[in-house]
Amino acid sequence: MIHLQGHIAFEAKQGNPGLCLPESTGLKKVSFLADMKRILVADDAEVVTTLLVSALEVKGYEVVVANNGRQAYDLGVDQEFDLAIVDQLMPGLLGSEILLKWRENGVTMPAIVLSGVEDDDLIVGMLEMGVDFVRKPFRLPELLARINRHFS
Amino acid sequence: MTPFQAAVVVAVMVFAVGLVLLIGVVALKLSRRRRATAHNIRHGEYLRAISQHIVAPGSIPPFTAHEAGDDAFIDAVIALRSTLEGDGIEQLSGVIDRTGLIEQQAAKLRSLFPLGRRLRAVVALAEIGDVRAARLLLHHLNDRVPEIRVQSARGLARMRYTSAIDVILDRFEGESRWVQTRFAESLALFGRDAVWPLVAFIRVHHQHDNKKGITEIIRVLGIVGDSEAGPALAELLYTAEDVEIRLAIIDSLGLIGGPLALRPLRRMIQSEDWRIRAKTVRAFGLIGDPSINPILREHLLDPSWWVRRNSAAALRDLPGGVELLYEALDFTDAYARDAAAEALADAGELVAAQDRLEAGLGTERDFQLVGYMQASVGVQS
Amino acid sequence: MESVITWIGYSILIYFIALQLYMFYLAVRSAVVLRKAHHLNRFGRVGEMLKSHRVPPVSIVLPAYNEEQGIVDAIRSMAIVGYPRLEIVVANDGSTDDTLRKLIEAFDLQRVRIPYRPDIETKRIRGIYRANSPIQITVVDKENGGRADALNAGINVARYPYALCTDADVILDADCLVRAMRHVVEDRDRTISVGGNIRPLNGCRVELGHLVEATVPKKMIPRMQVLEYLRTFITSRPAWSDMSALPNVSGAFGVWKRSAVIAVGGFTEGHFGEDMDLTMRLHRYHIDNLIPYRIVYEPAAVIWTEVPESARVLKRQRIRWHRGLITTVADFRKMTFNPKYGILGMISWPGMVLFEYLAPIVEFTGWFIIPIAWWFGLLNVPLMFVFLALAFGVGVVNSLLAILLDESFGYYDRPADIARLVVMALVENLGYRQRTVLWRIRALFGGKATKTWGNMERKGVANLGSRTA
Repeated sequence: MIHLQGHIAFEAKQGNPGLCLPESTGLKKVSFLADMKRILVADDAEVVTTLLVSALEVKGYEVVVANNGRQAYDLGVDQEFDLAIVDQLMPGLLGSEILLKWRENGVTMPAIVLSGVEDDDLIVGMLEMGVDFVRKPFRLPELLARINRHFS
Repeated sequence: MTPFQAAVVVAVMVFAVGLVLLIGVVALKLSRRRRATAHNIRHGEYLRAISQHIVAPGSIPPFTAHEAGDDAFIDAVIALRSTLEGDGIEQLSGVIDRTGLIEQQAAKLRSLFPLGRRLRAVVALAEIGDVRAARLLLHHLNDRVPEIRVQSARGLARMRYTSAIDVILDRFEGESRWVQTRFAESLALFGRDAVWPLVAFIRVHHQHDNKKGITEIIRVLGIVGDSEAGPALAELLYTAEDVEIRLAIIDSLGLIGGPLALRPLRRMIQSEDWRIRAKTVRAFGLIGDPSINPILREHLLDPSWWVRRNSAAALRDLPGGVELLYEALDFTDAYARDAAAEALADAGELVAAQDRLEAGLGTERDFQLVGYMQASVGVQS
Repeated sequence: MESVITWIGYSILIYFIALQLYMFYLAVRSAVVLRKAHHLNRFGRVGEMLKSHRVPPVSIVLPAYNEEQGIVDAIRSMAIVGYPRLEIVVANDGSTDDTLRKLIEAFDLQRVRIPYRPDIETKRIRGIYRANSPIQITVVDKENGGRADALNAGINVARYPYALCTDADVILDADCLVRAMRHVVEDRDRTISVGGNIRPLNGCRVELGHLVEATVPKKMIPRMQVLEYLRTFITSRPAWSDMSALPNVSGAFGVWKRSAVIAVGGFTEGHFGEDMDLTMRLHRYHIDNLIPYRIVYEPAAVIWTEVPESARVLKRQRIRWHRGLITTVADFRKMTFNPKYGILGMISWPGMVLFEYLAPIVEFTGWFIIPIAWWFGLLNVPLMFVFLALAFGVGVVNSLLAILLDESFGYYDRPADIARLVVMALVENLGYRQRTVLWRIRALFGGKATKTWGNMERKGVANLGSRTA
């Protein structure tokens, strides 16, 4: 049933001319859509935020960038997001700390933690909290698929 | 010349040197700042442009050979290459091909100097990991500059260019410890493909004097974690006399795991040497087989303090181990009790117990644990 | 009488020439070392070591006394020094403020019992706390005993074989620990200590406990210290380290092999220069017992620390340092010019004695001998002016050399910073440095020093940021 719904939604999107734009011009035109999903991307590495902004805006998401842990935490508390992609090692607050603090303060958006260091305790802790974990370096299509899954 | 004249001449010379230094320092700093600022701006622009190309399949990369000569461009490509994996890098490869980056950097690596350029080239080739550069990197495994050898090995490992394994191992014995350590890192990147060559290497070399090199290779086998290496390591564990080698083998067997690793370790736990016992109990914890629990419980009372602590930490990770740790809180030996208490706290038992007590659901065991933690520390024995 | 004055005059002259030659030799040798390391630092991808789990685990030991202002931020900033296996051990040295409570609240600390072994004797331990948070933190709460005592307690509690001893008011560069531990990876059997490169934090832009931009302070007193630190950490220590004869691993950043520190009994309680004392005892212990070892300095492991902003505080700090040096020189006099201790015994430690310990005395004597010589008519006034000019010129050249060598690290390159540094190099010898000579003379006769904990008015890492941002 859920699968079917996802399928229908996909078809509907395909049928929407607003989304079937050439990649180069797709960025701004989709932003008028009312159901646009908002994603918070928090990483202190410029390369990751640049890449994810490009990738997600093409897919029609609205992306907000945070460059450090505290900024990410504040944004999550102050604004509504449909998903957060949070780097683990950031100045200010660690990614996992941000998630703990969000949960304590009633911010329950789904999240994906990115980390270059493979720490089993971290991975287990995140999975227990229902948070996705993606290792750096990542496969872009896989990351995008995981993001999509949160919205289907 | 009188002393006075001599002093004046020296003073004038010193002032001249000072003036030259002063002008040099100011000029150097100003030009470096200008270059760094421009570099950062271009770096950001390149990141954006390449990213947009990557996420738009079918688009034509807007770069030419001109960009490939720009350090900011190379840095941007390297940054993206080390962020992405698998399918994501195909588009990036398109960019690299179109700019002729590989050929340009290869030419720089081939030249004799300057060293800075050559290093940048070998790092770029290693990071990009394009197999077209493999033959060149293979050649530079014999470069006169150690850092270039290290980076070449790393690049070949990133490409999974397995025929490089034997070449790296051939060089291994003659290298300094620093280069050996970093070669070992690269060997680990080869993964399973490296297991048999490495096993052959330790079989041939373990009787040589260079025990540092051997322990590095043994540790690589542990990181790769392939059970194929188990029997060879176990065999060496029985025959090797050197403690460092045995310790490295125990670590690696712990990482490799499985029943085959367990048997030699059961023998090692009877060792006279406390270091070997301490490592062995740690390896038991990594392997995670609960049939070991009774042995670990016994070693909670080992004569060595580190063995007691490691045994407690190992029990923490084993199924059923937590129960044994609670039992250990009643031991007469203070270290064993404290080691058990530490392991329970690290396992999250303390927080859980406090939560239960606060909710009025505390069991007798929770009272026992929380009460134990409140007692003062620093018990002498 | 006249011949005595002439004799003293010439001695001072020879001393001066020897000092300058020594400094110049160190600078040249340091330049060679830094040049070699430069490429590795730029392209070596040492950070890749992080991915393999083959780096030895490290305990960061932080002594804390009344640090409620900055301790939480300091720990947060240290928690992300990219290093795979790390714990933070805070030794609360009987703080009278809310240091402990702040720690407990910020990191969800639980009172625990762990197997505590007093490898080094310390003041009584009141309790041990451990965090149940993503950052591995252990806090040891103890009765007040001074910085050395707190460090010893921290080393006792540390679980890992290497301890990074530092302070709660420093900012660590993100990769400083990897850079330092590179030397341990290189030679795990012999490396017992690695020192880091300390730089003044005053005036730098700090955000969230991280350095955003390094700047040269506007105020003259901290600015002078920027130059002093450069001359020590850029033009002296690389050379000493290269000769395997490093006489001091600075207390603000030192990685120590735990077992080696325990073997020599830890830091000496109440010592005014406990870092140099420990370094020298480690040298002596290993050479006396014929144990191969090495103590190295890594210029690329950079940490930032607040230095005194006022002459009053700086004076006390310098008196303390010099008294520490006096004690150390007396304790290790048998190592001075002792060939048994190799280059350390013959060059670097005598250099410390002659050119650090005696320098203020010689310079002070010089100030007196000039008017006396003039009174007796022995002074060739034009020659004296030429020599003063020469001394000034050599001082400037030494400072500029330090600034030049520091260039490879890429700090301080805004036009304002360049101007401030160059101006300081020119005016430093016109009164500023002479004041430090007076203070060190004062130290010979006691004088009020900071306690081992220092009594700098700390602002705390976080507040430094908001102040300058």
